[in-house]
Amino acid sequence: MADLILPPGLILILAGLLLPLIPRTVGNLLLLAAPLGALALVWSVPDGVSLTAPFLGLTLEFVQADDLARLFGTVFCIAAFGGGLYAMTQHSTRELACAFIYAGSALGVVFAGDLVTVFIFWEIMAVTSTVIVWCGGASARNAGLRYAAIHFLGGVLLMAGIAGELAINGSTDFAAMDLSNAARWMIFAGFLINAGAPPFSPWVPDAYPAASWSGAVFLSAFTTKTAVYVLIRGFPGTEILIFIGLFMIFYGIIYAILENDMRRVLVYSIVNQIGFMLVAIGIGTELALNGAAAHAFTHIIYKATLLMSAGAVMQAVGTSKMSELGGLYKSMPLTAICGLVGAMAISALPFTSGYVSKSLLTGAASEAHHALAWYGLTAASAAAFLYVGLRYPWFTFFDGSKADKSGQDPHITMKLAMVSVCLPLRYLRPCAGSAVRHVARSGHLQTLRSRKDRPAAAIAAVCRVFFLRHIGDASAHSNNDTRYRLALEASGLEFYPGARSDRTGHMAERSRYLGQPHRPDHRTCVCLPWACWSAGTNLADRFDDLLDDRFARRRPDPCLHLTPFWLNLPQ
Amino acid sequence: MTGRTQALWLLFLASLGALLVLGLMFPYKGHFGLDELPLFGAWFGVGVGFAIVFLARLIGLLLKREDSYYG
Repeated sequence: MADLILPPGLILILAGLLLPLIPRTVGNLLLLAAPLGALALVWSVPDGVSLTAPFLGLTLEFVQADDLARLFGTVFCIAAFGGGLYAMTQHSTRELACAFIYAGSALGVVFAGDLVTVFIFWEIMAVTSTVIVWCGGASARNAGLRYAAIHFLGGVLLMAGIAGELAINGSTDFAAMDLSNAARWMIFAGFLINAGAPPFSPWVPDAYPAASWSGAVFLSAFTTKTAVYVLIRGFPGTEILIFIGLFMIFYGIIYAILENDMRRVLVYSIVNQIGFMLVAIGIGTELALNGAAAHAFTHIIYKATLLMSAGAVMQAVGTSKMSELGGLYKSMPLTAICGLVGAMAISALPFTSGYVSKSLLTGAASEAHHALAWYGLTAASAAAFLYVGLRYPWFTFFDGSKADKSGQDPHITMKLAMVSVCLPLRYLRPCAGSAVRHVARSGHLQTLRSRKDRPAAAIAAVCRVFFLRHIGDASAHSNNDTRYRLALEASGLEFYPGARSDRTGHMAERSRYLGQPHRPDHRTCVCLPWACWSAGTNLADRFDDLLDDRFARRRPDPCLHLTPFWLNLPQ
Repeated sequence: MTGRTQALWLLFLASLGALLVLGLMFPYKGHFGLDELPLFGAWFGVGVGFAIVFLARLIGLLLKREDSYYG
């Protein structure tokens, strides 16, 4: 029994299949329990291939776990939990059922060990997400058809590529590839279509805003980020991704500036942010790939916050046109706060998770001496502050010049959902403490020794466990060590360099730092207005030289022993 | 503009001025040449903001449609 391995996505898929068959009250419990169960499985599966099945002479590897898979698996479970809580008042059981099968399939892709298994779950995602778009009502019908056509085209390319790969190399193993033959180009194209890359970028702003207020939250989390995952896994260091990513960045920005529909603005920003990740994958260094994974993690959470707040406004006011909104902060204060926190995170303001992950990306570009990528990312960070950080909250919640609309904060479950995904962006910094690091290091939930740490750890671990781990490792790997220490500390993530050479070495560190939560110091207070002025440029750079000595004095252990990282980088 | 709003504006502008002074006091060693110029973050951020909006408006002249264009 102890050796029984279940695919983490199976629980979500089964929950989705059960939802139409059971009373809604029980179904609502299932909406919360299933993601937590899946999360437990994500954390409990051992490294390596642990579940296979024969199929047409091939061996399908349904569960192949490593830290990268757990990172994405964790954030997908968080997204499913937040989305399920948010959608409890959604009347369409069909949408909820499809959303959970969709989320489970995304987990299936993440833990797939071979390309055929990737394809199977890839196509289930395409079908279920199309139904979610259609659940947006009659107006979503055509958008859903266009969405389906694009994704099935991607599926055809992917399948053709997999068949070609099998014919050429005799293997369907899912590992890092180069673009050395036509089959791999087709696999690459299939992945890029799901990422919203040109020339197919418009499917994202076409389909997602057509979904219902809850459907858009699910859609924003899985398809594009699954594509980012498979590109990290399959095509790290493929240079063309830098240029594709830069195009997506500025495509998203320019259209978001022109757009009047708040949900479309947020969806264009998905294209923009995926562009950030693709640039990093194209750079392909260890720091860049860590940054891409970290940015995918944070982006899922802050984009869910933003779309939840927009969905709450749309549900309360009945319109999503920013020209008809404004002044809603008085009648919808909680929604406004959550929207603001999400906007700050996407703008990479200090104290937010986006600040850390974007700093990693720009830092990776400078470390790789890639001037075009660095200038592009820095300019895009400034523009992201403009079109989402300022424009969305201002025209939706604060502009009083046309404030003839009023609403009220949404149902309690939607409030809880917004706050639950909003918290890890901003407010859980100090309570995580070293207890989370303990969980992160062990890779499993274990009983914590200190009673007072348990609640904080239980909450924060769900949100931060792998994020902390990878950011911490990435920062220590970096040549610009100080910058990332600063980025981490300014964002409130504890980072204590010390013995990190193995999975047990952290235990001593945990007890050493337990109960020493981070407090923002004067540097973080300086960082905030500076970020406003430089509009998102990488302010951590500005303080490198200034703070080198200070960090050197504070460092408890000058020798950093690092664990090998989780990616098979191209040689 | 209320007194509180005026005070917030003054505080904001004063903090920006202070940051400019701080930026000049602590010059930054850049990676790519241009970013070594004084107050790079400030002028680059503001310049990009204006340029992006200008470019978007320009493209908008060709591409922008009424909200109801697609039904």
